[in-house]
Amino acid sequence: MSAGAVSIANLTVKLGPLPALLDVHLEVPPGGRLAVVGPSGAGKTTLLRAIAGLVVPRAGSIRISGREATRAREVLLPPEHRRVGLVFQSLALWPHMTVERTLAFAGAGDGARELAARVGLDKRLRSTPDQLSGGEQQRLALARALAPDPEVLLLDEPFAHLDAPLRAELAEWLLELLAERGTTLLVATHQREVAFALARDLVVLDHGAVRDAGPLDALTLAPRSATTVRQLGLGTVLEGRFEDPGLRTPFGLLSLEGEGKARCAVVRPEQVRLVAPDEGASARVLACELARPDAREARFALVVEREGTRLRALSTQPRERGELLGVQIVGPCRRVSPS
Amino acid sequence: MKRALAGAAAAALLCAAGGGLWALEAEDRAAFARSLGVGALAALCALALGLGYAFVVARHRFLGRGLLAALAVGPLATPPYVAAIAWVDALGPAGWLPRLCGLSDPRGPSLLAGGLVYSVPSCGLLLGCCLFPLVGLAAAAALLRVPRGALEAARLARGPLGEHAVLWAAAAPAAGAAALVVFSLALVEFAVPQLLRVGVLAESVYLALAADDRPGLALLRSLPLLSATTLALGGALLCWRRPPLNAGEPAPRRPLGRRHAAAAALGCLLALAPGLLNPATSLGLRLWIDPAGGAGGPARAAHVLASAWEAGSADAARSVTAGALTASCGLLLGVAVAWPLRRLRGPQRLLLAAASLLPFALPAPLAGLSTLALLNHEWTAPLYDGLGALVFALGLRFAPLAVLAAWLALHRVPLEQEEAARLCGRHPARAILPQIAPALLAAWLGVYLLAVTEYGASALAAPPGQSVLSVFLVNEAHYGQGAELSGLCALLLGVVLLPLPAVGAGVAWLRWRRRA
Repeated sequence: MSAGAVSIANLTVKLGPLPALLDVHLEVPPGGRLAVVGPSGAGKTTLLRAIAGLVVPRAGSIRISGREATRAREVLLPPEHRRVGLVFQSLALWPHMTVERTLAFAGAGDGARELAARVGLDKRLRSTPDQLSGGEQQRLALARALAPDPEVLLLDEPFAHLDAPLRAELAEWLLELLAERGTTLLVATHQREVAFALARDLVVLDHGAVRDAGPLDALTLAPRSATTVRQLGLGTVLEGRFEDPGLRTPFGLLSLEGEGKARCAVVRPEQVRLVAPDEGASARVLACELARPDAREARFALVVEREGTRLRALSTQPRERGELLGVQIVGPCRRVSPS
Repeated sequence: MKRALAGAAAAALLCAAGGGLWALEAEDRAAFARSLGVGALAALCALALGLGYAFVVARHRFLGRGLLAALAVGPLATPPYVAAIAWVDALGPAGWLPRLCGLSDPRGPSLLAGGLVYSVPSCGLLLGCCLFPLVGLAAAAALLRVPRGALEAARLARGPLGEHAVLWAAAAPAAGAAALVVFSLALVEFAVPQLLRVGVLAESVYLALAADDRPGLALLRSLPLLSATTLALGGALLCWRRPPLNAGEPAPRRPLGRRHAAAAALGCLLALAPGLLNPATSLGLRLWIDPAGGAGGPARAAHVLASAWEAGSADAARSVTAGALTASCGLLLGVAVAWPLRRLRGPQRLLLAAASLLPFALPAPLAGLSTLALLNHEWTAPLYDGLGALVFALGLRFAPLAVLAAWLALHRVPLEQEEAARLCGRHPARAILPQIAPALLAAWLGVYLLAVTEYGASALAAPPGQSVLSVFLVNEAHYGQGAELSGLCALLLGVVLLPLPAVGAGVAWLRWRRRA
């Protein structure tokens, strides 16, 4: 296996009475870019910490660059020898060190100034973290993680506190740098924009277990789990009962695609047609807000409700809260597992 | 489960206290009642002064605020028995204040002396005034942690009352915990009650050991004290464990108008006055003015100080050596113990904190007695005959404090910073220790201060013929007031303040190095 590959098998980590990770399998090729998404408490941070060697698992193994780094109840390769860089969610910058000192201390040595210039901090070399803005602190944390020239870079909610333009700018810079160095990237996030911006592959975690995994574009087109749908904001998951030839839901009979026996299906907003109340399943508008401000034509995102079930839809005109609409779902809906 | 355990422990302690009291004589029971009175009054006084002081210095901005905040260290740096000497010197039968006010009765004790100076309330008040900065600093630190957002949200929701409610909620647990620590300290203190002729149980413990040579009786007499202080410290831990408010940008201080600022400054100075009475009178009155009408001024001051130096320099040197050794060993031990323990959570963390605070519950003579019992062997003779026994006794009392201080300092540094250093291939200590260096320095100074001013254990553990300054001073105080005693007080204050220039120079050097 070449440098930067991460391979995880049967990984189970317990933090307290409940498992934080349960039987996780994962393969990231060298130079791969994987996003780990999931709701809060899904185990994303624990997974990154286990890869970094900061958490000892109850079972399973982790191989990094072909070397066995961790196995059950044993850290074989200490964190400092794994050639792994980690950007903590809290950044964990050393408050008493300047930018230059931080990078030198982290292993950049004489290249500290050059690295600082690469992240745009060459004019803040003498500043301590409290004198830096949020974006600068984030860049310093990234530069610190990159200073020892890691083979694997782990990012834990890397852009949690940044605004959208800064996020896009940093993501662009990071991708350039990773491509140049051939570094493998694992990013844990609950922001789908970050996953789409940085990753090629995706793993969806929920309650410590992998719910979905695969290439990002494939999972976007054909999600297999309701968690994936919710995390990527692909549509609404409707639950119903089987009734030939589809799934009976409060919004009518849905035709299904995909294999399995799950009684859930994803309805994408584009599949929802709004008609007069008597033409389709009548539903009341709960919320309406402008969506896609970048589109030429104004589109409004609606949430409609019928019999206590909510559905997301798109409209070309604004709707009043409480307004009664008819809803028709067109086209086959993809079957997904409920969790 | 935790509550049941705490309840069971409290019940056991109360039973032990009850059993101990039942076995004691009526005289000792009365002494215990006086001890409780002194402790309670000291805690109440410290709470009242400390909270007021904290609100003034932590929440308001006015000219001289920084100086007032710094002056709070004064009463803490002045040993309570030194303050008691000044108290008697000022208000006693031959005190300068009654004489000044024309209240002294030439035929007998002054009006003040009979009712006020030598009494339980006086003792409690004095200890409270000396120890109130503990409450003040704890409450001020809690108030400084209140984030701006929390106050603004409370203001929007409930107006100024809401703001005050948030501030009180932040300050109360810290102040309560510190007041309970003050209670424990006052309960086992006996140098001050001895000087103010208030018979307390801690003194009975000392007498059972030193005068009667009956360790069994000393242990029996210690039982109610131990139970009461352990209960109080348990309460302090419960208060202390309440989670602090969320971190965030701290709330800014409010400006005060001139009148309010003057009133606040005056109030703070009045609160500080009893604790700072001795430095003021020793250096300002006794050394400069000859009551017999002889030549005063710098010449007299130099003469008195030279006499004090001649009488106490050897003891002072031993005090400094023992204090520095205790502080250094304690701190090394503290860091070595606290480093692995910082990852503790839940009951283990509580147990460590309890073990660290427990020495406060131990009457000092018992620490001295334990030292003598442990080191009175042939193979420990070099320690027993030299300063080793003293350092051991002082370490027994104060090293856990160093552990606690190091642990608290380490606890404030997120574990992720240590992990970040490890991932960079560096030893975590190199990233963490510089951050906690100021706290460690403060802990060193704290332990040094406590060690050089300690009396109860030192009186027993100091080898014969090799006394220390605190013991020498308290013994001299029994022979009456005078310029010599003031000179010795000044010498002790000098010993207390001795490391400050070195520490200041060290801090300046560190800052210069960081800038460079």
